[in-house]
Amino acid sequence: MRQFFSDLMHAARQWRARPGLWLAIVVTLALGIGANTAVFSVINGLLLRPLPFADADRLVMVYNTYPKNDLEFAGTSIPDYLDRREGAPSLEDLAMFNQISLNLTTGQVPEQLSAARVTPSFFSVLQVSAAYGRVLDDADAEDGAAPVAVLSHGLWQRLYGGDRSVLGRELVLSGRNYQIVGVMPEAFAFPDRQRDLFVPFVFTAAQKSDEERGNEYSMSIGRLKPGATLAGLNAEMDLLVQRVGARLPDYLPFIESSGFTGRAEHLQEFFVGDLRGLLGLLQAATLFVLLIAAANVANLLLAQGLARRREFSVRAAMGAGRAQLFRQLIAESLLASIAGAGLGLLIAQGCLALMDGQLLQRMGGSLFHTAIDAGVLGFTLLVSVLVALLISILPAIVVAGPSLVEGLKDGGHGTTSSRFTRLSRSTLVVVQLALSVALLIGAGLMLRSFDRLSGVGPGFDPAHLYSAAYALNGDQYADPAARAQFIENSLNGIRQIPGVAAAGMISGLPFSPMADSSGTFAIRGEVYDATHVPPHAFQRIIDEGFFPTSRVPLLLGRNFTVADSADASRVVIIDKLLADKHFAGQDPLGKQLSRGGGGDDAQWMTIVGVVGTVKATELGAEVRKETMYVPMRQTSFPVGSLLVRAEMPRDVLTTKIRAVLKRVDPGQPIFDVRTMQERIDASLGPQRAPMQLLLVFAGVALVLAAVGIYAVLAFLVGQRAGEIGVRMAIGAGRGDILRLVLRQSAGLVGLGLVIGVVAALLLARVLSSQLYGISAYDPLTYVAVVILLAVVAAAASLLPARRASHIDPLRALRQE
Amino acid sequence: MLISLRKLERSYPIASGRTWVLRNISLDVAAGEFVSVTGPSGSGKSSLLNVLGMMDSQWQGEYFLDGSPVHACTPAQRQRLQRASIGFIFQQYHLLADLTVAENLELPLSYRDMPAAQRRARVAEMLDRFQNVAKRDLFPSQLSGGQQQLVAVARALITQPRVILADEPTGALHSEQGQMIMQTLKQLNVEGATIIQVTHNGEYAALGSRRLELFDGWLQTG
Ligand SMILES: Nc1ncnc2c1ncn2[C@@H]1O[C@H](COP(=O)(O)OP(=O)(O)OP(=O)(O)O)[C@@H](O)[C@H]1O
Ligand SMILES: [Mg+2]
Repeated sequence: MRQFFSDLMHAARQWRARPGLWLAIVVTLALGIGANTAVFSVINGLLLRPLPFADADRLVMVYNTYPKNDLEFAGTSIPDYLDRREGAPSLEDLAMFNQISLNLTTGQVPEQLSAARVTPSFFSVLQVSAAYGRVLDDADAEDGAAPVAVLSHGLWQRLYGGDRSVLGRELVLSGRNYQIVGVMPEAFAFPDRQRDLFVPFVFTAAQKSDEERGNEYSMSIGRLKPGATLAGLNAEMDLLVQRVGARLPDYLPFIESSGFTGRAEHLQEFFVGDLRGLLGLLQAATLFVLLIAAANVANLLLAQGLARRREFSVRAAMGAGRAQLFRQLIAESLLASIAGAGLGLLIAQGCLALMDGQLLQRMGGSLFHTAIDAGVLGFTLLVSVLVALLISILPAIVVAGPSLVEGLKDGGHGTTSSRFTRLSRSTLVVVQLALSVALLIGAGLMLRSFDRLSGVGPGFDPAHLYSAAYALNGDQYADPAARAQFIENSLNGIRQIPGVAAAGMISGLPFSPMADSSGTFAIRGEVYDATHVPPHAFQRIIDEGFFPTSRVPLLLGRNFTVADSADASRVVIIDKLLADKHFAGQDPLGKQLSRGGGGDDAQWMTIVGVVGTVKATELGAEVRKETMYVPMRQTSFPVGSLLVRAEMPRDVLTTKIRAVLKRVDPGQPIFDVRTMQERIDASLGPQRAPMQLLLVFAGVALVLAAVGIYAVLAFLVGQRAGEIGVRMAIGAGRGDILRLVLRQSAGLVGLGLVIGVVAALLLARVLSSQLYGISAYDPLTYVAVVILLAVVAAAASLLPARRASHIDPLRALRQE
Repeated sequence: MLISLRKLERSYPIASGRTWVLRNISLDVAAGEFVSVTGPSGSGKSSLLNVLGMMDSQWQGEYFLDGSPVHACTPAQRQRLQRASIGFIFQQYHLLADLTVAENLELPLSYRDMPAAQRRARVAEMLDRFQNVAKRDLFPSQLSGGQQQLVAVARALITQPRVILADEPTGALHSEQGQMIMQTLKQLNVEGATIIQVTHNGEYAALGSRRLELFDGWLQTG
């Protein structure tokens, strides 16, 4: 150990002797190690580290699924929740929650608060308690209990400045008095950081009945008993659904045709499981970067090793064994790679800052932290030790290789070790290039795929299209006519604002959490039974302004008008997908649909128009579920969004809309004013951040490859100076020498490119699943990358080649 | 005159001004001569040969090669003149280690825009003349010093230069092999080649038709 320490001391002295070389080595390693640390800390934060709850591995999301209806995830209904809470022995506890908006009217501008409506078991499932006061208990959720609220730490600070005497005080929200019973800890942020407060989820008798089945606007989270498994819980939920089917014969055919059942997934997997593929890919990319960096450093060390053969020969002559010489080299590499790791941690920190905001803009995001913790530090240390070993091997062979005496004799000129060095350095450069090509092709494909993804039209025109959410949940809006009146008055006022081109409303705004409200519907004339079940569609409530404002194209028939009122005959507009799926080869206009299963009490609506299909949740996925639109005067829902097309800054527009609404209803806030483009971008967030990183890594790889080519050619030119002098003495011109060096470079580069392309072709299959709208064998990407690298390689070769052509033959010959 | 030097001077900058290695050299060499340059170490022999071979261009004075004013040439013209007129033989042979004997011979031709067929014919001719046919595919490291220098002589001759410049061609050889090289040069001279050689060996110097003595950069006449 003492010996090794003195090796380290000696290594440090090496640094002082050649600071430039060692700085280059440390920076190169820092890039490679930093990239790996950054990606690993994301993987660690999202996939490896347990969520911030006690025994978090026992927490599961529980949801309904309709696999045969293409509906994987459907939330949960109150009766399902009650069934499972009682009848699933694998569960220790189960909770249900949803998100509601409550209006706070105490301040100047009415404010919208985001509340989580939770069953009292919510807190016991998560095993959290209040920081002050208490959490909700079962009595709070009794039908008819006095309303109570538990505040988030953030709201408590914002409204009351952290005053502990608020416990017991009343808070007026959407016209009701809530008594404050508790404040949550600062760190608590579930289901997301936006929740301002927690109110009890009170079930009415009607909500507990079978009528409520299929109303899946809530989510459910459970805690497994110790030792219980997902498979066990899933089997229990299958059994529960079978029992319901046996008890309700009318419901059974739908259960069977839709494949309806309950499913559970580990909480962590539920939130970020879909990122696993992308992150794995990213880690592979950074591994490439690290290998490229290591190849570069090995290359520098090789040149260095050749120069130091004499030193090592002397050491050997003084009695140093091979093991001791090797240990000396390891000490030097280790010192470099640890220093590289230190700098790499800073680089990783920078990468994380870039990623954090975007990657975590999704549900559950607040639960994850991509910080550099002990695990990440351990990983980084491990990587740097492995790298140190990797980069020591080749120099060790050169320095401590078979014939050390050679080094003493002639200083390593024209000997086997110099031939070995030349060969290894050329091989390293070929390997490095091949890795770069493969990495760049991968990055290029991902980039083009992402480009396709972002370029795909959503089916409407998101530019200059603003949306603002509202929630009409006060008592004065219990009547649908009052809601329609509010919307009509608001829109009319907004349309008067100078600069506003159009305005409209929709209940389920695309690319927002409301986008996936869906339900079954029936087509008049069809008879549904166990083998032929009613189809399922997104259902949206709109006004006549929605299509013109969003610019969703009307393909057939007509738009809604003010005449489609509550007492007019019921009408519906369908999207092209619904028309294609259910009215292929027919004229859909005049056909009739109803919501629900189409029983005797069905309210039939006549199809009056067909519009283009709209992407509502994911830009990069094919729309698979059809959509029906119904007019707001005939169907009503308290929550929705106003859409405004206007070319003006958000703040200006927001202020003007607020002024209009103040006239319509001073107590009614709007919130979440954003352009549709922003919403779409946010939906791409989880992909965008890794994409930007991939781009950075590809750039780093390119630079390292260029540096590698440059270093090797410069080395070869130096080694061949004598030969070049001879060639000039017997008549070679500058052009001949330039060509000689470039030809040598072209050989290495060409070989690297070919191997890289072959490797990329072999790896393409792995990439396929992550690509959208582009083949993993896309020739354009391959050709572009090859050209790019060839150009970069040529540029990197030019300098050494020029230097070679300017060699003074006299001096070169004298040194030969 | 094949070569005429007039008041040629060569100096190097050193810390305290300049150091002169060739001083006021005037010299005429006719075609077919075999000139031996002798002198103590550091007297400027190699420097003179480098100027004559146009490896060096940092000198003052006049140098006419077969009537062309080298002192007035652009670097490109000088290179053309060098390719057309000069063959170099070095003390250390300077054969390229990675090339075979035949390839080493072909190398100068490859820098002179000659069709491949013609190049091969010349190489064959040279191998024949120096009785090296059997060794054509060997590498320099597989030859003795004398054999390597023979290949170097052949390489200098292959472009059919007007002047052969040899800087201590026997310096690295045993006397027996040195003898053989000198005999070869003598033979070439008899066949008409113009040769300027640097040597320390009086016996070899005597093989030439004329002897020049350099002393501290000055040409001693007589
Ligand atoms: N690049 C240079 N810079 C400074 N001085 C130089 C340079 N090259 C040669 N000289 C000097 O020029 C002088 C003549 O050198 P040159 O090599 O011509 O001698 P030489 O007669 O060939 O000697 P030798 O018999 O040892 O080969 C020497 O004093 C040498 O130190
Ligand atoms: Mg000399």
